[in-house]
Amino acid sequence: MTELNSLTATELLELYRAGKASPSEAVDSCLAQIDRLEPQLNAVLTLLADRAREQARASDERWLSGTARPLEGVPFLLKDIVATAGIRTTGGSAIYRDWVPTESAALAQRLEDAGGALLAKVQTMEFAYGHEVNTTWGPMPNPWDLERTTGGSSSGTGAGISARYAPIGIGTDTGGSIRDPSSFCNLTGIKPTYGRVPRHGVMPLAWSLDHAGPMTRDVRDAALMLEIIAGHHPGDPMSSRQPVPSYSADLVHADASGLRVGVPTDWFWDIVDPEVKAAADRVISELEAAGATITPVALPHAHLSDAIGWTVMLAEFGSLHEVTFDRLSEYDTGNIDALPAAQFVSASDYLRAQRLRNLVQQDFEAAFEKVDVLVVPGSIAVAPRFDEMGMTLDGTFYGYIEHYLRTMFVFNVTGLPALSIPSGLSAAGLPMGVQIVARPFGEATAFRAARVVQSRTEFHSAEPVLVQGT
Amino acid sequence: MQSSSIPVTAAPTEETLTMLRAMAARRDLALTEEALTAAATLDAWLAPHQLALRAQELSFLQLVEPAHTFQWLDRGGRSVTPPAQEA
Repeated sequence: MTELNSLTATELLELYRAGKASPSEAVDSCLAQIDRLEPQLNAVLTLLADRAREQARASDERWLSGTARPLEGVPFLLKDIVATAGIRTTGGSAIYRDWVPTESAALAQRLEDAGGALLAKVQTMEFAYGHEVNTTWGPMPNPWDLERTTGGSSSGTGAGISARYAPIGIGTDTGGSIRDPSSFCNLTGIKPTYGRVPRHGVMPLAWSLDHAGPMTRDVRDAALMLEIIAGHHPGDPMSSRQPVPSYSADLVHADASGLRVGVPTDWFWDIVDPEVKAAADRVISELEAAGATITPVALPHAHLSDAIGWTVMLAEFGSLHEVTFDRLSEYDTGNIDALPAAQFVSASDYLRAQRLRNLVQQDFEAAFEKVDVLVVPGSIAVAPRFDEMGMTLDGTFYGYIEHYLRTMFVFNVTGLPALSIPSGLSAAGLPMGVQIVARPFGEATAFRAARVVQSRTEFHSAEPVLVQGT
Repeated sequence: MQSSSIPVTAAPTEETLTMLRAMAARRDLALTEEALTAAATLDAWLAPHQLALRAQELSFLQLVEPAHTFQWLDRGGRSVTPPAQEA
């Protein structure tokens, strides 16, 4: 029998509803998995076993009394830049090593109000920026290959969900930090439209690029999570007042008939591992076979997005950390490099970059006149080894920090929703990903396309060898 | 192996280092030589990208403001207010 910790949230809820499993059993199963694999993965910063068991017992009662909420008794993980009342929130930093917030982030509160059981606060690059390891809290190996990175910055959520610590978790994404570990760890993760999910209580990296969203193993779980955490909150004035659809209900009969899929003709495919490209092509073929039409689209300004993104991110990052800049030596190594540089982005460069975001958006506006979704690669290659942190393609080395996020940062710059789903395993057995991108607040359409792919394929359910051995 | 958390593709020049050192002093930023070198390294990487951004034409009379990015999103990805929403 499949262990409860290996089931998706949707599957767990079905079992609870049928009385065939209880939240307490699921939480115990997840905690046992953490106990088995954590010595190798180092994904957890704060384990909340007793608290989660207590929440699960309350959920057991609710299922028995017929008062279950939408996420009743589903265990989840939180990236540790998300504030939790009464629970240490480190930001992955030594500076906040002992910080205990008095108020929970809006999205954390919403997950618990919906019945979710918080299992653990998990690893992150310090303040959601960094490179291969967090030197303060230790490296976060990839469950698919312990010699490789999980990617970042939502490293603990990526590793934890992939290793079956829990079915769902929260990541944040300023330049690809939900979608990069999703690609590397065979997950389904969505960076929603800018403003779709309130960032109240989420430590910022760069205000105008920051997003929070679900990381899961199945698009139905991502849809369920998003409908719970989305919606305006007064604590984030930039959070949208657009109504939140019932994303999960819309997926019950998802099909691709009439769906118009756009595939960019340039830039997105310029630096991509051939295996990743072939896998993306297979996903596009699946959509076509399911009834979608495929249309090439041009995005002539997309190549500007890296420069725009870096300029905006550095300027906002530098501003945010002015208050503790005199403690630079206490920052993690990743930020010790970046924060000094952030001090020297000029106001005119920052404002030009902000103005040019709209130019890139207009490319996508033209594209979405013709198509409903775009399909582009996720990360440009499989997870790199810690001792390489890059890939060599046609004799050229492409480093992780400069190149691996190039297909993702553009959607932080434009604010468009981008859903990363698994696209298969490489010849070496490593996960690859593809992104499905929709117009603003068009998450439902991206979910629909992903559901079509996942209902026709199995690779999103593949488990790391590490997990198969437990 | 690329062990830095910033792109490293070009070595910083002494000229840039001198400039950043002066700017840091003027702003009373206590930066070590190592931190200044990191800043200059990123500056060297970013410089050609900034040139590409400066080459984009943004005319004086054309209204393109930072806030438009978010207004565009709120309009569902449309550059003008749909007729049905106009007062």
